[in-house]
Amino acid sequence: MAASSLPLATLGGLELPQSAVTTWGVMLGLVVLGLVLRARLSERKPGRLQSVLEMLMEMLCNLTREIVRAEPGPYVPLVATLFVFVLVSNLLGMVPGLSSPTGDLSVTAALAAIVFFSVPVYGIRARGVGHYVKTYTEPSPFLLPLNLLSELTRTLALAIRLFGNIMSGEFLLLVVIGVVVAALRSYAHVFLVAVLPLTLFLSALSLIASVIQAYIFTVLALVYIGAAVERRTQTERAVDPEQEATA
Amino acid sequence: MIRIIVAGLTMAVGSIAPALAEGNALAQALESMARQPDASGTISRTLFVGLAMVESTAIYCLVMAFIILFVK
Repeated sequence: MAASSLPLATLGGLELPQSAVTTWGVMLGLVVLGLVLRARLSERKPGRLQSVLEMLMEMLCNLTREIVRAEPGPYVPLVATLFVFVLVSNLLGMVPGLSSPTGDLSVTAALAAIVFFSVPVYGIRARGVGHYVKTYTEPSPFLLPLNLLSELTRTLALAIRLFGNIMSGEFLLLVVIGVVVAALRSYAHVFLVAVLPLTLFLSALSLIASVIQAYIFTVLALVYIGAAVERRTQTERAVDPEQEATA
Repeated sequence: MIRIIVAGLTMAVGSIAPALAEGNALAQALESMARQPDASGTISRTLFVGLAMVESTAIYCLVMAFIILFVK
């Protein structure tokens, strides 16, 4: 499988995969960056990085407002953390010698599990247990199994989508590099002329894919949370026709 | 060997329909963006979500291919 799921070391029968080290590295780096930036925050003279991050925050707040149709306050911490973490993890693959931790299915599965469990938490917080559980029987009670199933499959798809995109990007590069090595060994250096621009192109492609996949992961998490928060039962609609009109 | 062939076939056949569907969705989105540039923000966001949904079918094929390849 992908390079990041290969074990770095074995400790008493327990394997230490590379992705575990890189995810902790990303977390540590982000926390340290956050602490350093917090100490340097200023309203009068925002630094370059502060301005960029403020723009990012504003974008995420607007996105949350549009998708969830509620004040972004409780949602932005989770969503922004997911976005920044996934983005940095995806881009880590661009650093020579490192591979994206999101190219490991375990990491993306953990991220998808976070979304999976936060959906009912937000839903119950916004609407109460009774109303939230009732949404699963929404169009008709016969659809209850399908609603539950879709909850699981979309989580699976969320994990595999990120994993598949990042891993395939790395894999393609590996295959092309394999061709380069083979060409060097067989003295068919003519191939290099064709293959080297291809690696450049593939790197650019996976750079774009990294950013887009981070965005898609965040938007999908927001959509799932938004559906749990916003989806109204028929009784609620009858009680509150005004909000239905605005929504 | 049969596993590899079948996994390859799974991906090949399974990605035809999502590819066509995604292309279709993208073409429609571009057309509506050209007609209404003001709404391009909403359209592109909805497009991304829709593409992700369409992609799920191909992703299930990928999962099946992995299962065929690696589960003994």
